[in-house]
Amino acid sequence: MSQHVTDWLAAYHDGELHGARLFQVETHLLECPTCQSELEALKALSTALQKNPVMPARTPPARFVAQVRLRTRPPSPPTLLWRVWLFVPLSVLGIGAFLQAALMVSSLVLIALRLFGDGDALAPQFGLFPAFPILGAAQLFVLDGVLTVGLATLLWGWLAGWWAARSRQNRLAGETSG
Amino acid sequence: MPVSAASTNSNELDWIARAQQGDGQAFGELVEKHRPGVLNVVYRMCGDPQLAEEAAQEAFLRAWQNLRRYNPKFAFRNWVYRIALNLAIDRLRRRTETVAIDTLREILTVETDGPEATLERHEQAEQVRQAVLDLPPTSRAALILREYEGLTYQEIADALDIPIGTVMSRLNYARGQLRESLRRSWEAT
Repeated sequence: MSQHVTDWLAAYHDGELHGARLFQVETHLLECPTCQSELEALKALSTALQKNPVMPARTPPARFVAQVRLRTRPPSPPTLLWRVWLFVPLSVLGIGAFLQAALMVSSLVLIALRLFGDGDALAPQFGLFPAFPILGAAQLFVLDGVLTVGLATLLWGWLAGWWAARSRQNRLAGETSG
Repeated sequence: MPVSAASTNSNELDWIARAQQGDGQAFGELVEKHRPGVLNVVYRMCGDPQLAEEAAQEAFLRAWQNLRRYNPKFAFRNWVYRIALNLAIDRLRRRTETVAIDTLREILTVETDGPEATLERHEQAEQVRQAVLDLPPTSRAALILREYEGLTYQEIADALDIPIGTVMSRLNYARGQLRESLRRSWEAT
């Protein structure tokens, strides 16, 4: 007699076995009283469970549906605040890119002035960045660092808020594992 | 891997699409269709008809609120079961006393046998019901979906968000516990 198929009997009983495994279990069952008896026990359990009555009707179906519908409202479109909230990371990245570009241009102009001209004399002609000639490279470096850390903080803060909102929605949708 | 929504027919897909656009009537159709299944699943999880009705209504409300996030690759029925089961488990955790024994009187209203046979049947039904309720919630959920709702292992895996291997082990555990528990009960009577 082949080895017992106890581990597969429940799946066999549930109609979940196919192919070679199904053949193996069926063949074994023909010759093994122990597994036959185990299968009968599984069937008896299913029968006992089926005798367990269904839920007694309390609310008529139509009223149940009406009660649910009364509590439903059309899903509201995303609010203005939510739309603005979604644009936060894009805005932060845009502002960051702009400031980085401005700092880069400032640095280049500063270097050009130091190398090729009189910074004090040329400074007033650069209306866009009137302060840059008095900024040294170290100051620019510090400013760049502050800018990067500030933007990174904003982005991480946004991500944390987004994650919290998403987790709450998942809980509401019952998608957390049981 | 999600299964194709075998039980999601074209009517249902249409209702879902309309409900996702905010059509309450289409959602009402979905509620009507899945009400019995959801009610039974929750009832068998908690054993209390009152709590089951509340949880089933709440499950449909949450489904409505989250319809935009429903993935049509999964059967709608299994998605709602998942919400309902999570709600039932959540409520059971908050509740210490789960079973209203006196509801047994309401369960069987049509009596055709004599009083002794009826009483015996009631007792056996109550023992089975109690044994199911004594199972850990996770195993109980798998057993209910398989034995009462006839879901396949893959559908149970989708509904409970667990691997198929875990479905099999939970079912084996639940059945083993039930057999042991019922054997003890029936030996005692």
